Amino acid sequence: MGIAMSNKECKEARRQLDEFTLAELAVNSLDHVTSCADCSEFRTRQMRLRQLVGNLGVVNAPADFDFKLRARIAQAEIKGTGLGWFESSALRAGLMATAILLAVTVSFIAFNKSANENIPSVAIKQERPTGPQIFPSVETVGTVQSATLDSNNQQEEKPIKRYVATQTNSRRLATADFSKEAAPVFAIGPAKQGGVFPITTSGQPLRISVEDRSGNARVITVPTVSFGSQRVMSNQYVSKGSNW
Amino acid sequence: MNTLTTIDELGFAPALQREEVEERTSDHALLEATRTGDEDAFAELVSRYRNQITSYIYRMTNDYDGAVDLAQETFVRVYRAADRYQRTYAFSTYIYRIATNLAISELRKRKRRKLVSITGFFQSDDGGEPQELNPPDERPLQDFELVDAERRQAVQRAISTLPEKYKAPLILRDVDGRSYDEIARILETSEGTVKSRISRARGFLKEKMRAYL
Repeated sequence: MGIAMSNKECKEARRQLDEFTLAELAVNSLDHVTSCADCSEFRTRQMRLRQLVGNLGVVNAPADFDFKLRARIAQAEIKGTGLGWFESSALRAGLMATAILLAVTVSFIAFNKSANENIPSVAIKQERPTGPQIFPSVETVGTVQSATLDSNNQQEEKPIKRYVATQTNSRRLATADFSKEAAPVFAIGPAKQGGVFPITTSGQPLRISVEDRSGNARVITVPTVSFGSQRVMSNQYVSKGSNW
Repeated sequence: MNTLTTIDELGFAPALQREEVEERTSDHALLEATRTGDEDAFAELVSRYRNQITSYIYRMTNDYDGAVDLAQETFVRVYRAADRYQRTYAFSTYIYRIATNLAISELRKRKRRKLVSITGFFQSDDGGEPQELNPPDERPLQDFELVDAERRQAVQRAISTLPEKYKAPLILRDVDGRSYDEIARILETSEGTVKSRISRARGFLKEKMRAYL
């Protein structure tokens, strides 16, 4: 019991010695410490250690500390100018709104410009011959003449040259202006003056008979591909569902 | 018959002037003046704290050039954050807190750089951070000044090997002589924790400095 009490007192005395300042440690003499050899030894060592640590003293800053500090602050301010200026939330929001508005405006202008460029090319595409069935080539059906360019061989070749040019440089065609030229007239042969082109292809499906080595025959029927124009142009149009 | 013409004649004037001067030269007032662009006020603050802060960071990092650099960084931060400064605590608490954070950050950077170290074998007793092996040189030196200088170096080395959580409170208490209350505010922890850490730190030091005690 006595030992336990002593340990408790030692613990409390050492706690107090730990909390004392060096000056307090020197003047304060706890009853327990004077009577306890271990605690007395603890106190001596504690004082010695704290003297050693306390004697470390203050290490002075170098002489050019202020000068370097001023330079550093000036540098930080220069760096921070842009950042600080942008740090203002109101200004930042304003800049963001302006940037978005500018982006939208530029996009809108660019889109409009692009759309304007595309309009003529679409129109021309509609006028341009799209295939031999509708606008047969000059060599196979007849001659292509311009209403304003009668009996002029050099000028007759002009549309052909232009057509070739459209294939190689569609952008150039897109900007060509045909509004001042007359529309081309297709002169058909005398027997077909009704404005209808002769369709030489048959309306019947293609049948292919295949026979293998053992004598088995098989018929493959390939239906006629129709875009509708054959029927219209050869006056063979029949209502849907009828057999032709 | 004498009549009083000004309030100064009542005899309060000298006291009022003294208070006014003290108020004008307090750390808070200097920082207020710095906020309004008074460079001289900031220079005064720097002259008051440059040695304390440099010394404190040096004790923490054991590197003088690095300590000067971090002390300057501390003042740069004070200057740039002058607008946001609140007079909740003493200015010294505020600036020491900044310095402590910078020093601890530097110590952690160093620790990361030190990927493999033979000192890693010397773990602390409580299973905490590894301790540097820094045995004191016990060879006797004849010259008293040399002995004293060597002893200081040994103390500094021993402090530098302490885990960072013990280092700052010990330096603030035993080197700078600050109160437990202030240390607790600087380190943003409780007084009890501060006392406990200081006690542990002294225990470590006693082991390392056995030859000098």
